[in-house]
Amino acid sequence: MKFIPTWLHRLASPQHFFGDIKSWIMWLYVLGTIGFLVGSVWGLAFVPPERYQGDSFRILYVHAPIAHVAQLIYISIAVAGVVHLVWKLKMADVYMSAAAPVGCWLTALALASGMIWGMPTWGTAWVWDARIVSTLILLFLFFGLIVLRRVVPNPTRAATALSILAIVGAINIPIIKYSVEWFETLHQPASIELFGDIAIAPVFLTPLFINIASIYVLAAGFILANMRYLVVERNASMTWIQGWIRGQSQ
Amino acid sequence: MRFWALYQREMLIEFRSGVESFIPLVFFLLVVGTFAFTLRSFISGDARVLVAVIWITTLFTSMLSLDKLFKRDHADGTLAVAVLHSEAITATVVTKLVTHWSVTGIPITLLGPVVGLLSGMHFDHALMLGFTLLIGTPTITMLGALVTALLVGLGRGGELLTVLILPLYIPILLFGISVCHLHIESASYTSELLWCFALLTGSTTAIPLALGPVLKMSQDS
Repeated sequence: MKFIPTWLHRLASPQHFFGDIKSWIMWLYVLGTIGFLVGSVWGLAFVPPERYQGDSFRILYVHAPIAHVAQLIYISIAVAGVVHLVWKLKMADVYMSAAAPVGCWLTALALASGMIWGMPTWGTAWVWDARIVSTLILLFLFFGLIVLRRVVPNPTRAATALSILAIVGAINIPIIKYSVEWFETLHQPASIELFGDIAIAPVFLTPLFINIASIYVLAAGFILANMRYLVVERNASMTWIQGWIRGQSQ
Repeated sequence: MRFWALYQREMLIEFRSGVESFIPLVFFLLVVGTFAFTLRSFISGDARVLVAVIWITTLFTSMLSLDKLFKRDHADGTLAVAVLHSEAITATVVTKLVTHWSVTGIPITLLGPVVGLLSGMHFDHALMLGFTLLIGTPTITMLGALVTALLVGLGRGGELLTVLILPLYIPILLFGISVCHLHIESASYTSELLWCFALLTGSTTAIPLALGPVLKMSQDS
């Protein structure tokens, strides 16, 4: 397959992935942390207060990026599930197992930050609102993936089971995205759409985009580090891992 | 012909198990009854509460009987033979699904509106409840069977099954209840009803085909 660059093709093999990705992780962590600090400080200190919500809206700069990336991770797990079922790539399975805990934590953080935001603006931390409930369901879906991985002893079967559960669960994602329009809700609709107008004034926007990009980078770092760990765990009997372990212990 | 013979066998086993085959129905009535009794002041005032109660109890009833869906056939080796042939496994799986729906889905579809009528629900609203249950119960059976198949032979069921399945049931639950609620409120429910049909056609076409490979995998390990 000529259209796939060689470096990308190499990453599909656990051995090359393990060697090549090592130097990336630290850079992703550094870049993500710096970006997140810049975006957050910008959003907290240098952006004017919002007209109706005053200063409390500033949690948007944490809440929105985290919620966005958490959803995206679930969709990416479903895509990895399709890749696993169709091409049987080992790394797709590793990705699913590595990304599920990261997504689970991000979803929990999105819910927590949303509750903190809800207290001053809505006057309540929790409403049984369609969008909040569907994010809660997303949390349970991630939890289900993690649990399923644990209870199925055979790794091949666990991977296929995980792929199928992720794909079926992905039907919930459109509901999460569009539930705001479908049901009566207290939650505001999304202000940024890929193909449409942006309902946020430009002055608020730059730090938001910086933070969204930073959370992407940080999540990628966490997932890749997790994947490296899983690669070691699964290939422990291989000679190249044995060599690496011997090198580490010296 | 093969399907019909298998279906007769499954139904015969269901009926021969005697009083055991009534457990899901008694469970359904008991849970609805418990809800209705504890929430009686809400239910007499608002038919929408009873609709939600009946729908949620339907989910639980369906889950309760999923546990044994493939258990016996896995234990006595029928499943191990069936997965050897792709046609045989598809016929077996479709039979299992139809049987599960015949034993839980159809009775609930009939019982739900009756319970509604007895509790003073308007006839039209009870009819709509029955109609959404008719669309919803096959979807519930399909999704449940898929997750059950993922866990065949692991000796795990019960709350693990519930934790894995319930999130997947949310879309059909939301749309089913929405249709009934909008109908009671005399609002337009077309788009929600179409979503129910979409979930029904999607799950009934895709899942029977997916179940074969999933069950085959369960026999490999």
